Amino acid sequence: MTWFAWRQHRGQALWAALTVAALCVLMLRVGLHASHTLAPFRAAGCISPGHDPGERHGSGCAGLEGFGPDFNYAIPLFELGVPLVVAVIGALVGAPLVAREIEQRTHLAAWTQSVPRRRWYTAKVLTAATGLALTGLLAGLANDRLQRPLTEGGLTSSRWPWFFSVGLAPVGEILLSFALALAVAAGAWLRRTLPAVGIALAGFLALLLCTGRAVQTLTPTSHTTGPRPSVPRDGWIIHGNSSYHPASQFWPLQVTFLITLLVLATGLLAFGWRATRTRGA
Amino acid sequence: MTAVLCADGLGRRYGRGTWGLRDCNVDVPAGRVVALVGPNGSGKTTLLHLAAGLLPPSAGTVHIAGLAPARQLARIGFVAQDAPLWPRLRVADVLDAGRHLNPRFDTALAAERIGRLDIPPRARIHTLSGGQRAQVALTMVLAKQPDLLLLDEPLANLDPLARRDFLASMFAACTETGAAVVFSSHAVGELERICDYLIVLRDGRVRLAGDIDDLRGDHRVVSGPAGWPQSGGWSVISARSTAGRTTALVRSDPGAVAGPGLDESQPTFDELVLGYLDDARHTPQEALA
Repeated sequence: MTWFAWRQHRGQALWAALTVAALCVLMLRVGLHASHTLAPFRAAGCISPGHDPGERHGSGCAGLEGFGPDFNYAIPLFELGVPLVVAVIGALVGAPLVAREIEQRTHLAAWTQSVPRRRWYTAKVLTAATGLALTGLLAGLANDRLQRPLTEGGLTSSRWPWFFSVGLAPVGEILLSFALALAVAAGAWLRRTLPAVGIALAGFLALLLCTGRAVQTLTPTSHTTGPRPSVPRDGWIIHGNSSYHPASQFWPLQVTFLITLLVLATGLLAFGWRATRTRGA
Repeated sequence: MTAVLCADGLGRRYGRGTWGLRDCNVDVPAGRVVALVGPNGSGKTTLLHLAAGLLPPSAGTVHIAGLAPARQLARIGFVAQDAPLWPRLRVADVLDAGRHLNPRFDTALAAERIGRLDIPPRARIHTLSGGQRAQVALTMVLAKQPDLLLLDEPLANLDPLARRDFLASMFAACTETGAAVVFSSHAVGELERICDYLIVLRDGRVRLAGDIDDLRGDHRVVSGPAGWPQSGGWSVISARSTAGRTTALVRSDPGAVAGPGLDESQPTFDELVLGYLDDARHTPQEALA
C-alpha cells in the first residue's frame, strides 16, 4: 500500500520538494552573503557574543553599522516566509489526499482492493506525513543557518516569530496544516480542494497563535529582579520587561511546541479517519 | 449449496426517511451469473455497494461466503459504475497497484488480457476511452481472482463488439474459476444468453429472485379478450391492453385453466423481466402477494 501511495502522490512530492529546495537555496544564499559580509568585522574583533555589534568601535569596524539596513529585509521575509510556505505545502498535500479520491470516485476502486480501509488511510497519511516532516525539518534547519549570521550582525527582531520559523517548529507547522486540511476536506464540508485549503490555512493561523501563546506562557519562565531589570540579549521576553525565557530554554521550548502541534495534528487525523471510515460510497 | 452472497433483511436508508434498499432477502449460490435488473433508482447500486462492503447496512445483514464483506475484500471483485480509476496513472501502474494490493493477483493474466485488447500499457487512464477504461477495471478484478464479481452497469460504456467480448470473457472467467457474478444492467436483451439467475429490483425492494429456468417455468403469458383477468383465480403480475386484447404475465397456477379464447405460453426472459418491472403501475397490490 505504501508503494501505491507513493506512486499516486509522487508528483505532489516532487513539486513540494522543489518549492522547499528553492526556498532553502534562497535562504542559504542570503545566509552565506551575510556571513561573507561579516567576515572582515569578525576578524577585526568587532563581533563578540552577548554584545551589540555597535558597542565596539575599533579601527576595522567602520561600516559595520551598514549591515543592519542591508539585511533587515531578510528577517521578516524568512521568519514569516518559512511558516507560510510550509503551511501552504501542508494544506495543498492534505486537502486532496482523501477528498480527491472521493471526488473522482476512485475511492470505490481503492476500498475494494484486498487492503482494509484503515490500512489504506494510514499508509497514505504516513507516507505524506513523513515526506512533509522531512520538508519542514529541511526548511527549519536552513532558516536556522540563515538566521545565525543575521543575529551575529546585530539584527534581532522580536524573537518569537524567529522561534516559530527555525529548528523543529516548521515540522510541527507543516504537519498541523496537513492534518487540518485533510480533516476539513475529508469531513466533506468542503469537498473541493481550494476552499478547503483556504479554510485550513485560516484555522492553522488561529491554532498556531493559540499554541504559540500557550507555549510562551505556560512553560516556566525566569524573572529579572533588582531595581533595573534587564533581560539578556538572547532571551525571549514574555510580557512587561521582567519575565522571560533564557536562551538555554530554546530546545525544551521547541520540543514542547512540536509535541503540542503533533498532538493537535494526531487528533485531526483521527477525525479524518472517522470521516473516511463512516463515509458511504 | 452454499450461498456466496447472502442478504437477510438487508436495508439501507439515505438521510432520514428514504430507503435506497429495503427488506432485501437474496441468496446467490456459488458459480451463478446473476442479472440485477431494475429501473434507475431502484436500489441496484445500493445493493452492490452493500455487498462490496462500501456501505454499512442500516438494517439486516449481508454476508459474503459467511463473513461480513469488509472481511472478505480479497474474495470480492468490484467495479463501480463508469469504472472509475486513477486518471493520472498509467495502465501498467494500475495493474501494478492491483499486484501490490491483492494477494492472489494474477499478473500474467492481467498483462495478457491488456495486450489482447490492444490497450497501450504506457497510456494514462484519462486518455483511454470509457470502454477501454472499463476493460482495464474488469482486468483488474479478473486478475484478483475473486469468488464473487460485483459489476455495476459494466456494459454501459461498451460498443456492441466490446459488450460481446466483455460478456464472453466474464463468462469464461467464471466457468473457469467457479466465481459467481452479480451485475446490474439495463440491457435486458443481452443478459439472457449468459445469465442463469435473475434479481428484479423496484423501488428499493426485491420483486423477483431466482433461477431463470425455474422462474420461467413458474410463470405464463396469457392473452385473451380485454378484461379477462378479472374473471377466474389468476395471480396476475402485470397486464397490458392493446387493440381489444389483454396480455398478462401470471404466476402458473394448476387450478386456473386457460379457458376458451385464452392463449397461453411460457414467458421469454424479456417478458418475465418487463412484466415485473411493469407491475407497480398496472396491477393492484394484492396481485403481488
